[in-house]
Amino acid sequence: MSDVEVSGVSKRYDDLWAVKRVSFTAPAGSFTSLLGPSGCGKTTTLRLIAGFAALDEGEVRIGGKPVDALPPWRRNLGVVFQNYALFPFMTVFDNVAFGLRRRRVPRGETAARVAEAIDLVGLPDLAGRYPRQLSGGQQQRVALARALVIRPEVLLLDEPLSNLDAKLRAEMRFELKRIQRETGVTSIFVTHDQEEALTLSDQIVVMNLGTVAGAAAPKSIWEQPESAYVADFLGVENLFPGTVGDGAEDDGTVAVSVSEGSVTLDVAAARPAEAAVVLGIRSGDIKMWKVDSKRALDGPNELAGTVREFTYVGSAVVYQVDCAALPRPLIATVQEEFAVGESVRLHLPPGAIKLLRPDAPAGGSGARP
Amino acid sequence: MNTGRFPASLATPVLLAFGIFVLVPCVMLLVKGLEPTAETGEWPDFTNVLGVFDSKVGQQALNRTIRISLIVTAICMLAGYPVALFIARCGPRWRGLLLAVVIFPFLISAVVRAFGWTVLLGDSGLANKGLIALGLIDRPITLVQNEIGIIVGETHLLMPYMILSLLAVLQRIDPNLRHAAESLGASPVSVFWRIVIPLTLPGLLTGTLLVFSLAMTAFATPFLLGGGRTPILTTLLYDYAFTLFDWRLAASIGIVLLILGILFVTIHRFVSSRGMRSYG
Repeated sequence: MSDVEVSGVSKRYDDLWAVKRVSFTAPAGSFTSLLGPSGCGKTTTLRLIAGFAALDEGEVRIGGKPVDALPPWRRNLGVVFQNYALFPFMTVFDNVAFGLRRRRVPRGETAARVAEAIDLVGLPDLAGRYPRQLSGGQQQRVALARALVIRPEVLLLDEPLSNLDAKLRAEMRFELKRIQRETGVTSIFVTHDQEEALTLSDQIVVMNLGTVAGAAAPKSIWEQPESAYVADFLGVENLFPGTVGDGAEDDGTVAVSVSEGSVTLDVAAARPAEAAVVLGIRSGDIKMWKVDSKRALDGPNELAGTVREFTYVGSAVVYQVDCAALPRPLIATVQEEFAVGESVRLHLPPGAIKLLRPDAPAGGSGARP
Repeated sequence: MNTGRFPASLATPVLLAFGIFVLVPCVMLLVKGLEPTAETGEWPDFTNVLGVFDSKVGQQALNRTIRISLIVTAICMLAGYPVALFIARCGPRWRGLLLAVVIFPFLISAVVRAFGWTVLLGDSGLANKGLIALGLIDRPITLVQNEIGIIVGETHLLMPYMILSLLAVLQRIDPNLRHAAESLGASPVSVFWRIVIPLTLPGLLTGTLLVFSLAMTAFATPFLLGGGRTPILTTLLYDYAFTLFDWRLAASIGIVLLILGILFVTIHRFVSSRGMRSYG
């Protein structure tokens, strides 16, 4: 078990920086996710760790040792690919045994370790089958067994779940977590799915345009994203640029006026260093009620609005609400039912609003995959 | 519109023509070759076909045909593989250019190509001069109007078939397979033998089938570069038909060639189905 230190790593393709000064550390035995949209450099970073591409700047250390001079076949890493990359002309057994045979492991031990790995990933006895005779989920497990059987120092996973259907994906997520816990192997997992990253990881590294936009444990990155970009990628639906006012408040809140809007919101947060901020609030934190109910529009952080559109998601209803005081419609997720065109009141609790560092436009596509 | 019938009706003329132009000559060939030699003889008469194997000229031509075809196939395979590998790894621009170079022999007529080789391989040609300059030989050696000439000419002609067959499979190889093997500890040499070669086996088999059968049935190139003293089955057939006007003997050689072809395709199919069992 080894930790992975990625420090100041850059990779250029022609004139494009696919990855620019990326740094993070994956502690030994941890599960780290590289999260970002396609083209953000997450897969390139993984390929640089694996040694499939040579980095232009920086250094990768595995277990404290620099590995940049080592070719991939001397790094002892397990890699699981998005398309599984099983050898089509080999049986399941031969696929899994491939790495052991390259290491000249004796025949008897090979058979035992292959059986052990196939058992670990929860595959039934399919050792004599060829990859094309297996389902997607089974191929996925073979790919995992093949990568784990060599007892790698680090397990690298490149969007391994994205080719599976929703039900299987949820199941494999649990499986992946179990396998990682049982083996204790340091894992680096590339994904564009925030839910996968949140449920699996000890640490999430959010990437944007070839750089690290933020890195933290799932809970802290969920509760207090570092920047507007990270918040946007982690599903904070409502983001509004704003300016922190000068007036000092005694109750631990700051007043922030929404840019291009006509409202000043109280936010329960420490005064940030910069006046220019982005206000973020999750749709589920917003309160919403009918305008004819007896409550008057008098409290702080209360807005008037009109329901523009809604989508029913089963457990709740997601509303798009036009507010005169805001430059863009607000997204609110509530249990109550409202009709399109209905006038409503909204409350944005000061404690639920996040003050975020503005950065590059959210959702921008990166340099190159 | 019934789209189901549409391709069938369009395909009919070509299929019909092919059917007729393959079947009728085959029947005629068999009839001519197996015709009784004597007035009172019985059908079918194998004397002439077997006579091909009995006569010294026929036997030599048969052996030479098989030998040359095998050598040409082997050279195309060994020399063509690295070329295909290199082209597959080139960028799109270079790939196009290199492909044009590879396909170029197709664009020259057999006569021009053979004449070119006659000049190059002649006693005072570039090949002999080069070998003498390198000190490998003292006097010019005969490189043309013999088997060497035929092998050189046919290799030049058939190399593109092998390279194109290999390229077709090489370009479809998922690069992740190579990476997966590397991450599991396979060195580039090991990746080549254990991953790339098995993955290109279908192309190698297709190329072998094309090159061998075309080498066996080539006529113009061996005729022009082989000269009169190194007959192979096709040039011998030509001699019988157009110099001796012995159609029966010519047809007998035709039958032998047909049998050789069927034999080779059968062996090839057997090897392919065994080797490719796992490819699905």
